[in-house]
Amino acid sequence: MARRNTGAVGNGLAGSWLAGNGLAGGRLAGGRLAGGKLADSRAALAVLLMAAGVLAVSIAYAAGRANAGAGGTAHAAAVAAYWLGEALIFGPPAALALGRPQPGEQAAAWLAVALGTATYLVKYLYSPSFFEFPDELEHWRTLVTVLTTHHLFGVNYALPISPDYPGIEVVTSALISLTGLGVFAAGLIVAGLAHLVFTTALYKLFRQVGGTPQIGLAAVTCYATNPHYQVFDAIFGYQTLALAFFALALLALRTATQPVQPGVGRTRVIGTWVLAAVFAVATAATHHVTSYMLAGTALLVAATTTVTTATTRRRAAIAAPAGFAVGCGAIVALWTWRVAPATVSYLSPAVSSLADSVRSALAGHIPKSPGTAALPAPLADRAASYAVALLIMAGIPLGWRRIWRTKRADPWALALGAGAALYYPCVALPFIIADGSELAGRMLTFVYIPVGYTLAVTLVSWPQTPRAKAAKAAVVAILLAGGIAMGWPPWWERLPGGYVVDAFDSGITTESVAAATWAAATLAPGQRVAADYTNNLLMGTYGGLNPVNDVAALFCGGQWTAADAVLARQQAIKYLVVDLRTSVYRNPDGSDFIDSTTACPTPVPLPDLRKFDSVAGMTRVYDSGNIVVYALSEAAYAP
Amino acid sequence: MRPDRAMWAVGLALACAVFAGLVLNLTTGLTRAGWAVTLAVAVLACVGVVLAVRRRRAGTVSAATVHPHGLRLSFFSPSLTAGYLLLAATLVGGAVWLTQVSAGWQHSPGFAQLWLVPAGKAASATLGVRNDYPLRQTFHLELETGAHTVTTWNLHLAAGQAWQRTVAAPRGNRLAARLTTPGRVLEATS
Repeated sequence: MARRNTGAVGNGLAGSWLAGNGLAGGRLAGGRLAGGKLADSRAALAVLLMAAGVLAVSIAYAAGRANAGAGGTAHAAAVAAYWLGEALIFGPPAALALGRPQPGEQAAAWLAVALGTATYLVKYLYSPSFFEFPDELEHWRTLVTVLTTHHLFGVNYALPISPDYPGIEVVTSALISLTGLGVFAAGLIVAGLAHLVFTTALYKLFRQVGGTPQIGLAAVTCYATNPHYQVFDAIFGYQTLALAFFALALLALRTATQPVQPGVGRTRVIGTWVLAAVFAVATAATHHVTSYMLAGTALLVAATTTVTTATTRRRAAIAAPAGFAVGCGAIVALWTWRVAPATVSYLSPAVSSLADSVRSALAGHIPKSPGTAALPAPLADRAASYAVALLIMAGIPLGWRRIWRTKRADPWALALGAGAALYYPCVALPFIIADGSELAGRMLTFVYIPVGYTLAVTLVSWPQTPRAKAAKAAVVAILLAGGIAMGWPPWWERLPGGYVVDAFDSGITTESVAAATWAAATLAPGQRVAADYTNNLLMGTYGGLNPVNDVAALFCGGQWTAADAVLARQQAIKYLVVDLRTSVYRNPDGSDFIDSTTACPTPVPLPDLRKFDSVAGMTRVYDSGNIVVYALSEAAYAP
Repeated sequence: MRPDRAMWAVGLALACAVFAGLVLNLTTGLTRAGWAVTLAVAVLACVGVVLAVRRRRAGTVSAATVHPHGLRLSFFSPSLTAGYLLLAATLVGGAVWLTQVSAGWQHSPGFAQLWLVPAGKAASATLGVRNDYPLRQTFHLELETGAHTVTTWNLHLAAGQAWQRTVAAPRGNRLAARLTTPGRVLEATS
């Protein structure tokens, strides 16, 4: 009874145009149908358990910091607390979404907000004092430039494309200017708001397309298990804000493309279109790939509209999403042409590499597996990664079947189902291109949106028998474990605290930051510098220097050769940063340098790093014990 | 409070801030004054829109809103619910407190920085030392040219304190600085 009522009210197509539409302010009776106060208290209990999960993660992180570098029982207990915390964060919303009674309208919406909040807190708890993740530091550099010059589109050597998409820096600089907050606090607030808006908008979209708050909550919970949702898509980075605009634009488009119900004013319909346009433009000004995805999604909806709409009404029905897609494309093209022409050179190497790899794979040439020097991930992580891939690949066809049976009249449901098919090439990417794992991970941020919906409609349709409940719990557990195993931070720095040479955030130490800060105060900005991964990042951000990639050859080998001198001259290297810790520790990722051409051993032999002391034309201008900076003069370039 | 309304409001505010920033970039720059004026204009515009909507609605007779028992969702109202949420807030507060405290547990053992950088085109160099040990330290610094010690310093630096001098760089000879720190000798050349 309850299910029938809720479905009838909430159905995005059959129900009222107002139903579930936050703009229109329609009120639904889900809470009452789900048991009123009982449902509310169940949802509040779920929030309490999620908060306990956040506390468990905090305890795990504190234990990680307290036992930095130590293994044994203490480390195992900390890891266990971390996993318990994650289970407590994801378990309650999943249990309410997939159990009975189903959650009410408000309860489901608030649980989605709670999920966004809890996952953002997990990211905050990891690095509570300053930006640590590499991409955060790169955007910090752009923000500092904006705050210093009071103008946009400045120079960022660490991430040159970042100033061309300044959305998050603009918002953060506004907050800093108006409140006097520090850069870190303001960045946390903006990224956190964006993460919450994104999560809530996704919930609303899933809820509208799925027709019930139950599907909405289940889908957003499935989505939140994607490898990058908890950290990478919540960092202070341009994609974090763009995702919020992306989801809002889609939600507005979804609302605008629904049949207008009697009594709904024309002004409101126009207003919805204006909102869709505003968020589309904001997306284009904030992140390149996200804006392409927005146009692509609208195009996909237009395509599925041809399937769902009768021939007589087809042209009119397609016009709205197709027009929006064309508009998005025009905005993206205009932004790229007038503001961000560097986008082409930034993205084209990745695109051409992908195309070449696909061509090679089709011709039967599979590249050598990358990362052979990397430490193997723990068996449990690898097992979870494979399990989640297999589970999703098996689950998607079940979702398609369900969507076709129940939702084939809704082009948005079909579009989400069709979009889920992109998961298969994402799984294949790591096997056919050299850096496929990273590309696939980035793609999953978007591909998990249809995947989450497709899995949710399947899971929600399963009966409430003990066996089915156990199966649902197992599915959610595998999704969560697999997402964390493949996501950020990687396994070797899942708990903060220990030092890992040239790792992402656990490679950053006060000594490295001090060297970069010294460079900013002492050396002329924009000078070209060669360094290992962490110092490359820090010199490009804190240091204001221009880091050069693909020069690992300079650091390899016990002699400064003629080839090294030629390479240094060609790349106009002015400074070399040597971190002696790279000769002591092994980098778990298999390389201490950003270099696609040269494979230096890790650890780097100490004589390789000491050779610079005896090279003519090199002066040792800085020494802090572990970090040494050499300045190159003309003599160093002589072959 | 409805989360979807908050979502639209926050999202719109963020998007408008992006547009305002782009406009400010073309006009006054993204200064504090520029943002303050923008905020004032935005607030006035919002007030104007709200007033206009209210005036328009006042002219129409709206249907009475009926809230049958249960339709008005009360996520926060029951005492049990409020108790759960209060406890949840307490747990989150504890998590934040713990992470702030534990972040301070990661103490570096400390290090010193030594630098010797040519100072422009003149025959001089900038010699500097900074103490990044957690406590006050005494350092012994020697400046040499060729095989000769030019001068020495015994530096007593507090944590975070830096010392810097401009030293003459004799033409044709290389300057070398050697800093003795606790357990380590740092070297720089110019």
